[in-house]
Amino acid sequence: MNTVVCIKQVPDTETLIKIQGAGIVQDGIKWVMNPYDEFAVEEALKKKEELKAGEVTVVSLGPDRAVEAIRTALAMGADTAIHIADAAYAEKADPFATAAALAAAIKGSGKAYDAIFMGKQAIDDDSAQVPVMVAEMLGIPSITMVIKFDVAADKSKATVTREVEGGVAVVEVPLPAVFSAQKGLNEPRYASLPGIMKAKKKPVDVKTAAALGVSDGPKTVVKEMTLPPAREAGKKIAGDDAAAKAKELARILHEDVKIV
Amino acid sequence: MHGSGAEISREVFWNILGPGFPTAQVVLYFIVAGALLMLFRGLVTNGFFTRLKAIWAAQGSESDRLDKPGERFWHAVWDVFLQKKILREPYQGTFHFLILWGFIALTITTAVVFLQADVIWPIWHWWFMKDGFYLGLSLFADVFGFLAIIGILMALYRRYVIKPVWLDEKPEDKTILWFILAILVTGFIVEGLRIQATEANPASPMHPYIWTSPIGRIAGLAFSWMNESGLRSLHMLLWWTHVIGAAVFFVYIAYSKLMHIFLTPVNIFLRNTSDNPAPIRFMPPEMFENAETFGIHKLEEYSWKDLYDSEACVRCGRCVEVCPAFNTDKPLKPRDVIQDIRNYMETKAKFAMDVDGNYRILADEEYTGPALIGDTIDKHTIWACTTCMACVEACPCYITQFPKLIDLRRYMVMMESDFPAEVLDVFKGMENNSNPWSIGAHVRADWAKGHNIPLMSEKGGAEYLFYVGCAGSFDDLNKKVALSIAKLLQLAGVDFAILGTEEGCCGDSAKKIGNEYIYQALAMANIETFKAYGVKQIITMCPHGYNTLKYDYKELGGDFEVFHYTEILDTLIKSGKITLKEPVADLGTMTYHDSCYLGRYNKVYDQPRNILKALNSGAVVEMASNHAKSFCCGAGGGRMWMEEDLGTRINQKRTKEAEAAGAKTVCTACPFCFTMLSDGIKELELSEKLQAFDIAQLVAKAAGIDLKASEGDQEAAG
Amino acid sequence: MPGTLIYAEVQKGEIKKGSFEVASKAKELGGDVAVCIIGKGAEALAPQLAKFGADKIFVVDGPEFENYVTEAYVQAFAQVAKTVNPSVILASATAQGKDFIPAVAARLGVGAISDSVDLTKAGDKVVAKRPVYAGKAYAMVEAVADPQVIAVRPNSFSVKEIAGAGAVEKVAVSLDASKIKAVVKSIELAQTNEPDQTEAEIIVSGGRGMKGPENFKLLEDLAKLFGPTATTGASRAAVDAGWRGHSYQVGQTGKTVSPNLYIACGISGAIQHLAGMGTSKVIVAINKDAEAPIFQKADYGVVDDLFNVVPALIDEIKKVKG
Repeated sequence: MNTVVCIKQVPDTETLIKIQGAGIVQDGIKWVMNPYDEFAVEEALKKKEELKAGEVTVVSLGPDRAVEAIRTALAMGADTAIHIADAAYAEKADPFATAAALAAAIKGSGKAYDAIFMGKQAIDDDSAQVPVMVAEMLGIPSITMVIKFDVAADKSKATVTREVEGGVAVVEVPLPAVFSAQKGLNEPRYASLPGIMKAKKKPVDVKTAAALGVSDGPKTVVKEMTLPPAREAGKKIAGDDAAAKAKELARILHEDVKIV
Repeated sequence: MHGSGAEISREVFWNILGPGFPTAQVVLYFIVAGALLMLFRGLVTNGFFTRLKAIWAAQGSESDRLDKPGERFWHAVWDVFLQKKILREPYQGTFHFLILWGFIALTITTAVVFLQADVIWPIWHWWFMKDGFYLGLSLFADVFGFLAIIGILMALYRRYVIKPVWLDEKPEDKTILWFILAILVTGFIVEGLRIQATEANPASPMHPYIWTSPIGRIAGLAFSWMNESGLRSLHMLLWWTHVIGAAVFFVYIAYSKLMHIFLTPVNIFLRNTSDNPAPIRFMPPEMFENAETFGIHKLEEYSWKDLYDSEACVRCGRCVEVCPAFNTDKPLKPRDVIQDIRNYMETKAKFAMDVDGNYRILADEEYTGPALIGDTIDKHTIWACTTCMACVEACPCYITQFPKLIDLRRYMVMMESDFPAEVLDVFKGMENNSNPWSIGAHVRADWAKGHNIPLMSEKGGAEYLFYVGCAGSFDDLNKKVALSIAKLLQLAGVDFAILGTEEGCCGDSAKKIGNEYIYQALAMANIETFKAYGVKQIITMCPHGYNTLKYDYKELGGDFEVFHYTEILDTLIKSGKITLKEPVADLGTMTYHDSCYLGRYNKVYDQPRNILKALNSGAVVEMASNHAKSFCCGAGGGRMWMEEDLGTRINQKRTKEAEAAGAKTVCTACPFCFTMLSDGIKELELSEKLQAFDIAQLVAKAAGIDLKASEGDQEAAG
Repeated sequence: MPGTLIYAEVQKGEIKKGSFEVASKAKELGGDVAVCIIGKGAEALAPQLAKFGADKIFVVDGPEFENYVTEAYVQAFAQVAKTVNPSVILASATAQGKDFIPAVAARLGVGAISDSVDLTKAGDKVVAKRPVYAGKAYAMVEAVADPQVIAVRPNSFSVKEIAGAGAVEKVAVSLDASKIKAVVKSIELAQTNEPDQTEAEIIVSGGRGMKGPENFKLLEDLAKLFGPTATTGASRAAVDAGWRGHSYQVGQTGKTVSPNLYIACGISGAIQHLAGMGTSKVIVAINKDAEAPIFQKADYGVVDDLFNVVPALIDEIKKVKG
């Protein structure tokens, strides 16, 4: 089974985010592969191993540093990669522009694929749009929030379980299609040391957005970034006894937190 | 026979060699020669030579084991003859000491008799075994022979009555004891019969000296009812029984753990002489560029010394006795790991030997036998180890047990990504945020905010670097300890600074879990930072960092003088730079829990105890296991980050020990221990009776330090 | 005149509350508000929307819309959108909305703004405020061109009764069946009211202070009061003690959760636990140990015995709920 996995390099979840204009300060950020994309890479690798054939191609849009995330995917076991190494394009890219670049790279590579896997969302902008948009642009179906993926032996179709509100739905879809991975799909592997060393020698095809023929700018623009108001210091609920404190807590949950 | 005319002596081969049996001496020579042949045959058939081939074929890197030969030799001699390490366990030590010295004394005596009767007399006709020398020799042999019997009885008592759970039992264990006992007893009876038949006669010139063979004399008295011919018949029968028995015993050496008589002293000679008491095999950084496999997954990847260790093992079980994993019902017995490797040498050899008996190194594909990891040593065993070093410390044969497991972890982790699932986040945390909790690296120095604690980046340099480590930086419980230490150093006017957010994880957990790749990346980053600030002396809060910076960083080119904070505080208190103003209230009876990495690894036993005494806040008692035999908290070797789902909990066992010692306060000097014991107290619901503190917190209290942030200084650090 | 087109979502035979939220907000922002409601049986539900700001209601109803299939819904909506030609398209960012909105935008050749928590009008533009970097920052985002497609996080706006003209028009859409490739084989909705911890909006979690497995019933009772989006969790200590199954464990070695409300009962707040629930929006801690580290992370702390507080809290919440 030939698969394409779209990945994104994002700041580590724990990294300190500092605002600068309409963006964030890039210095001091620890960049990692988007965690949800790890599920996507893992699933592609698992299918390749299961069917004992196929190639896993990683595609990523991002500045030069994004190659580290690509190497991580290659270390896990992906075979080749396309890096749309275009800092200027990537910096401004919204989900639409990102999807356009990824779709163009996939099309432009001429690679035959049975499935495209991506994380359900990138944990930087949390947009969760790119998988669906790439599918739209490639004219193939998309199934989001996949937690179980089975492919027919002839690779003609996939039967997947996806999360829906309050439960799960089993969907059958002809291939090729785009699938976005939700936590629970699998347990991503930890790259072995030989894998890391081999990854250094695997081919990464470097492209620019212009070379791929995508020139449209982003369709949405971040005007400003702000920090959320500082978390107020924890409040100890006063009261004469447990009952009084419970009463006050119930009031807070109702009136302030508005959950009850 | 002796015909020397010496009166104060005895006839060798009395009642044996004579007109009735002129060739007895020749028969004896045949018996000895036969025994030698059988001994050799034994070495062949029991696989000793096969195992030697496996040892010879071992490829793993090994440190120089022949440097400082004089020191090695004398240490071995000293340790073998004085039984220093063995005597650490009084009961086992005593009986082994008695048996060993009985063996030595009787071997000397036999050798003297042999020299006299079979060499010197036939050639030179000189009889020296007489008078005072003879009497002394008789007494010497009798006394030590008797002590050996006591030793054997003690050993038998242990095997049959005490039966410690950590002692394993093979048929040979009891056989050997009964065998030796039989030889000793028949020896004394033979002697007694001879005395009864000869020296007991008041006419004998030896009669006045009859009690220089006290045990023989007593044995003889038991046969005083016999007439001489009866005595002679029985003597002859038992003499041959004794001689043949001794010969068979000699042969039995080759077939049993008695081989340790020869193999173990060699291992003592080959012992680890480096400062680091339990080195893990060094992996040069270049390896990560060009090697194809990491860690160990097949026998030959061990070093010759690793494999030889298993030859030196006598299965005594001291390593098992002290192992925290074994003591909490986990599937790890260090002895069995060593024995499994020994047996595996033969198993593997079956596949690896060609027709000519040459040992070949097989490629993975070629080999179809059981694997080292999994089949020979269970994976649960490999993960159960806390690297507490109790096994290495306890082993009287100078075997290094647990580092062999780390080699296996390395293969599993780096080659197969095979490790407990919960460790994944630890690795990622170390990679992305340089701490195992995966807390944002930017908050590393938040604990110091508002306390005017100097940063290297502001100061440019300092006499001491205070290397806080991850626990002191990120864990709420241990942040208080870090702050206490920093404030005490300030109080004492020590010129120090912290690295703040430039500090990184020391990498100990990664190293011990087997991820040398991450460890080295972390270590190199730290070494570079240390060097950039010209750091020469380092104070650490965590014993794991202490040990890692002190020994492991050296291998990577980071040579620093490293102190644990207890060493520094001890000095500062003694020199009066820190004044303990008043006793700390409510501590009650205190006990100190030795951190493995501070105690066994680095012999820092006294400083923390000195400090506790200096607090003058309550009696200081010891727990049942303390100092070198201290019981692990359960967090070492990366176990801090793993679920403990087999057996019972190590931290709870240790907490109960503290309670049993009658302590109200258990003091630690290690953040892992502090966490584990604090958890143990909560888990066991002992909060009413027992509390845990790090020593630094107590010193800070006694010195009158307020840990609250100074006003108006909120942004001074970090 | 170009106005706003709302996508109204139907679930279990009802219009989602989030759809009402965006409809009434759209009306508040001004301009004509059209709503497109899609689903089997949507026609009967459509009139409800008039109360919440809908001037015009387009109904797409039919058996082919029994289950949500992205392609079918997008085709239908796109056809309505072409007729309406709105300047703004809004939908609630529910599980379905998150799947639907980007597809619609791409089909219309425009961008989309996901998961907004606030909308403001700036001239022709609607500026959406949305959390990024897991809530560590907010981005103010606007679309470059019309229609401006925006999804709004549920509970961001309250439902307000603002009357709209409410004209209902049933639309006959022509679907290109050859493009509708995905087939929903089955839908399994959880029988239990407890969602998975990772999705739950409210988690009532217990630790060592629970003292035993039997006491977790107390937490279950409390969770039930919060409705179907609430569930229970446990700390590593409670799981290790065998009081709760591993699937309940919240923390570094368990599940990482980010609910709207996390109530920690008898949990001291070991660092491993905090790593798993630190991003919860509101944290309440109930623990008798005033020094417990959990209080440093909690928005609201109750220092008292949980066995007194929790039963009292259950009673109080019952009172509040009436």
